[in-house]
Amino acid sequence: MKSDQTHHPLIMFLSSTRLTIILLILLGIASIAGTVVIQRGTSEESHIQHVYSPGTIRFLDAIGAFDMYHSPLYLGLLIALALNLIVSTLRRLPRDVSLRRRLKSEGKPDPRGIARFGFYVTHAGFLTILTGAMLSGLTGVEGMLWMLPGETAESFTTLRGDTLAIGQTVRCDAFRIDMYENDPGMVREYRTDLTLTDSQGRSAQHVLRVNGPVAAGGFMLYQASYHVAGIEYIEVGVRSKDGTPTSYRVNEGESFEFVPTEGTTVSVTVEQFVSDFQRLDDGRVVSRSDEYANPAALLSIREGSADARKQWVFLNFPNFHGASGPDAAYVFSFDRIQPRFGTGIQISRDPGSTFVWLGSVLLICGLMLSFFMDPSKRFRNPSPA
Amino acid sequence: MDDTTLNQIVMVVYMVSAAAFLWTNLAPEPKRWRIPMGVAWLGFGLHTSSLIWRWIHSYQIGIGHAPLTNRYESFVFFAWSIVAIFLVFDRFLGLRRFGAAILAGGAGLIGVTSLIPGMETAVTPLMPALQSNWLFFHVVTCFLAYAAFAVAFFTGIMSLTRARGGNLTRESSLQLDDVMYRMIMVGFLLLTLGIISGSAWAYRAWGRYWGFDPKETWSLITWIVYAVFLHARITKGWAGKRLALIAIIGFLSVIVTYWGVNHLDIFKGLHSYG
Repeated sequence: MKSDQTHHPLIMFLSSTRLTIILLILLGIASIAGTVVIQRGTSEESHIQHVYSPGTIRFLDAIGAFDMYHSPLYLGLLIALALNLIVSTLRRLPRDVSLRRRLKSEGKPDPRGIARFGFYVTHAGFLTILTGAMLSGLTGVEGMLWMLPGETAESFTTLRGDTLAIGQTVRCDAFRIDMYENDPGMVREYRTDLTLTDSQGRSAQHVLRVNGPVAAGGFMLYQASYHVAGIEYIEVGVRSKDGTPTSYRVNEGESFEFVPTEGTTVSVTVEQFVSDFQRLDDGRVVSRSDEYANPAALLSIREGSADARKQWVFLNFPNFHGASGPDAAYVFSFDRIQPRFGTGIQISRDPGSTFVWLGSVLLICGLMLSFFMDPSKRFRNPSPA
Repeated sequence: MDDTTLNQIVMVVYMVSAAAFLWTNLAPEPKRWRIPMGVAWLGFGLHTSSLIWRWIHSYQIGIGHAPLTNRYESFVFFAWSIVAIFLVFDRFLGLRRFGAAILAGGAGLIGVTSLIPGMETAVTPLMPALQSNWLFFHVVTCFLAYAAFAVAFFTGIMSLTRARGGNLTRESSLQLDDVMYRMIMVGFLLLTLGIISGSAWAYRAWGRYWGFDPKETWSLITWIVYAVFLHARITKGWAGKRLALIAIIGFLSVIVTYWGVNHLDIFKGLHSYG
């Protein structure tokens, strides 16, 4: 204890628990602010300007509150906390070392036992986690691979805009979205079948799932997302007069045939598909937008050797019979669009994570040492009522 | 009968136990804790059976996961955690003095499930991100931590109200501090495990161990509040009212972490379940 008085007042302040508590409280307040103030990148700029007054925006900008967890303020608080920990450890270590030495020479056991190391192990763990976080921020890279079945990738673009070689060829063999059988609205699994080929031409097949990452080159691949890239097929339904419906899977330009009554064959061709039906003044039909706002298909129907007649069917208006009329021998319907799904694979490398896991183990061990291994402080309450 | 009905019975048993604890608290010395403790153990046994029952049932209907996922299950498991912490640590810390409040809290958490309109009580399938072996460890450590903090919160409230009423001897104040401190040590270790396991899980699912989504951030805020408590108590020797206040703030932060970030409009994020 007596060595404390010899330290410079600044060192005393830097190593004080008072400072630790102040920094922790400030860090807590800054963290809360980050969950309450709208963060840039999660919201449109116009929304931010709608919510806050110009004066408030100037103030929040000045303290970096719109990107709180990357702001100099937040980083500064973390660095100050790390500094506080390092200085207090350096101040405390010689004292504990000489105490242990003295006890050893006197042949006495340390009254605090191995719990005396709890302070160091806990705080070393915390510092290791902070180091890992800094490394992640500085050296971690992340990007996305958007792939359709059959496509390959050898490089990717990071969030910062750099293009990096993966070191292996990643081929998307298939992508599937499976639903729960008893709850068809709920996704059970996203799954990409991959083939990875290294520079020597050796291939290996992998299945990528959410919670099941795959290593490729020096990177990790994660099943992160998916996208819709056009249409796999549409389903056109035919209902005969007696009511039995049949469904046919076709694409634009493709045909199918059916036999409504003995001896007649009807041939149907999908002449045109539009995602958002609009008839122009000159009678042509175009798609108003790329949205699937009013999908429609133009069917060309040829019965036997008669001339073909044309009919529009609409996904959203199943009762719009158009030219066929209610007394026709069969009725067409546009039943379903099967979108063509492509996988969205996150690719990343994060050397900092190793430090985070190491630090986590140290932190847990340190807490257990401090809390439960101290022979001078039994966990049991000395005098329960 | 299904497990939701059994949970209603568990709630009644907990209420009976709470009443018995209250009665014993008011009765003159020597205290007979056997009856309230026995009833509490009975309720806990039924409660545990109901959880296992639901777990098995979820496999029978082809969904197959621990009953720790939707909102109903989280309330029921929170109640279980509080009673579990109470029964385990009563041996070390003499928690039975707070039995009435703790058991009433457990009953209240189950009761709330039938008060919230439109609460889904059926076993629901899991979205892909939640299908992980980390789920069990992460949820169990977090909820046991919350439960330990809840007990510390009760003692904090008691410490403050008794001090205000003027009938708090120095000795009983130190005892309350001791119980609070020890429950927060347990809770802090469990919360640390909970946050780390959550990070490991997020790393496996999304390739990042921390993303500052509101639930993650609030778990960090909660961790910071209890870190302040531990430093104030261990190094600065804080006691009494000041210490109780931190334990109370800490539990308010737990409530925001557990409930507020999902249901208060000012917080929005990824953890939009639970």
